[in-house]
Amino acid sequence: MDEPILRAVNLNKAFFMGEAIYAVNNVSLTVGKGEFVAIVGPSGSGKSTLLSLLGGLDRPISGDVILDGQRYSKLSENGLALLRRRHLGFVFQFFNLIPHLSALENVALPMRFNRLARTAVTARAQELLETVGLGSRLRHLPLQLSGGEQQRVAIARALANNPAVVLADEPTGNLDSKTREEMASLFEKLNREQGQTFVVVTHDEGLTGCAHRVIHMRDGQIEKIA
Amino acid sequence: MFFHLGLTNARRNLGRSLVAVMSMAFAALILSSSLSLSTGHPAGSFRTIRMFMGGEISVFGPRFALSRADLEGRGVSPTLAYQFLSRDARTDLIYLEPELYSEGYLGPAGAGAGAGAGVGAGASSAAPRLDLDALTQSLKGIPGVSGVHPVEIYLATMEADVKMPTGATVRKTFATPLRGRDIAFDLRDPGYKGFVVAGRGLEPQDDGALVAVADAHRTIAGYPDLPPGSKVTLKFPKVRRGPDGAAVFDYTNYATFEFTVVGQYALPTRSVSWLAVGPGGSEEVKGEDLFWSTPYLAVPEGTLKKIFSQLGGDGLAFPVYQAGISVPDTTRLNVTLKEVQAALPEHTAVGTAALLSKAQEGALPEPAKEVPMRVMGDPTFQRVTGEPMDLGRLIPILVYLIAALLVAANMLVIVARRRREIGILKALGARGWDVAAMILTEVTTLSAAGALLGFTIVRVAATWTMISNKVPLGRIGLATVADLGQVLALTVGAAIIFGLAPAVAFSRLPAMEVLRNE
Ligand SMILES: Nc1ncnc2c1ncn2[C@@H]1O[C@H](COP(=O)(O)OP(=O)(O)O)[C@@H](O)[C@H]1O
Ligand SMILES: [Mg+2]
Repeated sequence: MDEPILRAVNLNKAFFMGEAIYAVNNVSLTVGKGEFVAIVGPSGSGKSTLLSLLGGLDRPISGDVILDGQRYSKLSENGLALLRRRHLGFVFQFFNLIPHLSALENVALPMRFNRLARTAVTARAQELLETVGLGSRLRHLPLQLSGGEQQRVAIARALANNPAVVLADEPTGNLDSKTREEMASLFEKLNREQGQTFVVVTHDEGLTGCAHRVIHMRDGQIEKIA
Repeated sequence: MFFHLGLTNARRNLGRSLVAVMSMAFAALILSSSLSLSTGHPAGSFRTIRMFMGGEISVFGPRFALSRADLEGRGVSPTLAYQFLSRDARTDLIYLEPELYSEGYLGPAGAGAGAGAGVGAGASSAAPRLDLDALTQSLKGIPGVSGVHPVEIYLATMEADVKMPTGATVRKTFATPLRGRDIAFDLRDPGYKGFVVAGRGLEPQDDGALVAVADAHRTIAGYPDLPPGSKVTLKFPKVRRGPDGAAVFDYTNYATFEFTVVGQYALPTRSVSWLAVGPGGSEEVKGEDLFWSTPYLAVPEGTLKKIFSQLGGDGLAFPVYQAGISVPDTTRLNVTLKEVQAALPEHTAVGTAALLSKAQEGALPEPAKEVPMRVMGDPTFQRVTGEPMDLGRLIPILVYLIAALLVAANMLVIVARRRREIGILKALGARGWDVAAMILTEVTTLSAAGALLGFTIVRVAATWTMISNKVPLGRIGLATVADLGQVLALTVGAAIIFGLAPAVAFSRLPAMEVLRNE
C-alpha cells in the first residue's frame, strides 16, 4: 500500500434508543494515498455512520480518525469545519446541491469558502465541470439537470478544493443503470488519471469493480476485506 | 463570502419568500405607523379641544414665556419681572401655561397701562403680535402643515355676585376673553361634533350679532355660571392707535355690550373611576368624565371685529397674539412640531396635547393624574379603581411586539425549511458563525425589502397629500428619506435582534443533517 492518508483507530459510535445500539463497533481502517476503497454491507450495517465519522461530520464515542496527520479528536467544531473545507470532498446519494445556485456556483462554493479570487474560482469551476462532462450546463439550476448530471455537479464540487480524500455515500444509489455505469467510469478515471483517493459506500457492482479493496461491513463491524 | 451568499440567497429566494417579505412589509407598515403613534398622538384624541384651539399646534408671539434664565441673560432681575396677570390674557397661554402665573415670566408687552409698566423696559418693548402673512410664509413648505389660522381673542370683563365662605355676597370682576369663531370653518371640523352640549351652537346667521356660547363647566374653575338664555353684560376696553401704528387696547376706557348666551360647550379631557362606600358599607364603583374648564365665550368672528372697529379700531388690524396651525396627519405631530419651531425660532410652538397636559398638571382645577379633590374629599371615597391610562403609549408597545413576533416567526420559516441546505454548507466546511452570518444577511435583506414595500404602500397616499398641498418636492423628499431611514432601522433592527436566536440555533445544526435523508 502507498503511504496512508486516512486512518481510523478503534472507532465506536453508538446511538441510544433506550439501549445503546452500536452503529460502528470498534472499526480500524487505513486508506492509502491514491487508493479507491469501497464499503459494502447490508442496510443498517453502519456504512453511513462510519463514513460520517471518517468525514468529521459526527464525533465517535471512542477512537479517533487521523487525516494526513491531523487527529479529529484534537480539533474543535470549527477546526473540523475548516478541515472538511480544505481536505475533504463529499458526494451524497441525493446529490445535495444548493437548489437556487447554478451548477457553476455550486461547484465554486467550497472554493469561495477558502476565499479564493473570484475569477480563479470561476475558471476552476468551469474546468471541473468540463472534466465531469458538463461543460455546456454551467448556468443550469439543479432542478434543470437530470439525476446523473446533478451527481456530476456534486462530484465536481467535491473535487473543488483538491481534497485529500473524497467520501461518497451511495453516489449511484439514485441513478438508472446506464448512468450508474457512466458514473463508475468517471470515478475510475478520476482515480486513475488524477490519483484521487476515494472511499465509496456502495452496492453498485460497477463501482466495487473499480475499487482496489472492498470492505464488507455487518452489524457495525468489518466482516472482511477483499 | 457568507455575507455575499446570504445576499444571493435572499435575491434568488425572493419569490419563495414572498410570504415572508409580505409579513415583513406588514411589520414595517405597523412599525411605521406606530412610530408615528409614539411621537404624535392618535388622530382622534383631543379632537374637540384642537378644534377649539384652532389647530393641532399653537404658535405664540416672540415675547411670551421667557424663562427665568432668559431674564437673567438679559440683565433683568427676576424680582423685577412682573406677575402675569389674567387681564393681560390675550392667548391660551395664560390658561394653559401654569408657570406663567409665577414670577420670572414676561407677558405680552404693550398690554396696556398699569400692570405692564413695571416690567424691565428693555425686555418687553415690542408687542408680541403675530404677523400672519410672515408666519404663513415661514411655514410654507413644511409637509405636515395645511393651514394657519389667527386666534382672535378680545379680553373683556364681566361682573357677578359670588358667595364667600362667610356667606356674604360680593360683587367681583371676572376676566372674560371672547374668542372669535369662524363659524363655517368650525362646522366643517370633525372636532365640532359633541362640542355643543346645551342650547345651540353658533350658526352662520349669528355673525355680527351679540350672541355667545359659554363653557358648560366654567363653574369648576370658579367662574359664574352662564346657562343658555342668560344675558351677560361685558365691558370692552376701547382701542387706540399705538406709537407704531398698531392697535392697542386701552384698559382705562371701557364700553359695555349685552350678550345673550345661546348655548354651552364642553371640552372633554378624560374620565376617572373610583371606589366609593355606599350606605351600610356596600362598595360601589363610580365614574366621572372630566372637562377642561375655561372662562372663554365663543362668539362669532364678525361680532368681535364689529365691536373692535366700533371702539376705535376702524382701519386697524385686529391684534393677533396666537395662531393655530392645522396638521392633518397628527400621527407625525411631533416631527411637524419640531419643523414648525425650527421655522419660527422667535416664537413658541406647542402641541395641543402637551399644552393641555401641562395645564392639567399644574393649573387646571381637574388634575390629570388624580381623582379631583372634591371626589377625594368625599367621605365615601375609598380608592381610585381605574388608573387613567395613557393608551397612546400602550398601543405602540403592543404594535412593536406584534411586529417583532412577525419578524421572529419569519426567521423560523425562512430557516426551518432549509435545514438540509445548512447541513450541506456545514458538510462543505462552513463554520457555525459563517452560517449565522449568512442567515442574518439574508433575513436583513428580506426584511429591508419588506420594509421598503410596506413603507411604499403607506407613503404613496401621504406623498400625494403633500404634493396636492403644494409642499416643495425637496421637502417631501427629505421627509420621506428621514422616515424611511427610521422605518428601515427599526425593521432591520428588529429582524437582527429577533433573528439572532434562530440564526444561532440553526448554525448549530450538525452537518449530519445532510446524511439523514432517507
Ligand atoms: N441518528 C441516528 N439515531 C439513531 N440511530 C441511528 C442514527 N443513525 C443511524 N442509526 C442506526 O445506526 C445503524 C446504522 O445505520 P447506518 O450507518 O445509516 O447504516 P447503513 O448506512 O449501513 O444503512 C442503524 O441501525 C440505524 O438505525
Ligand atoms: Mg446508509
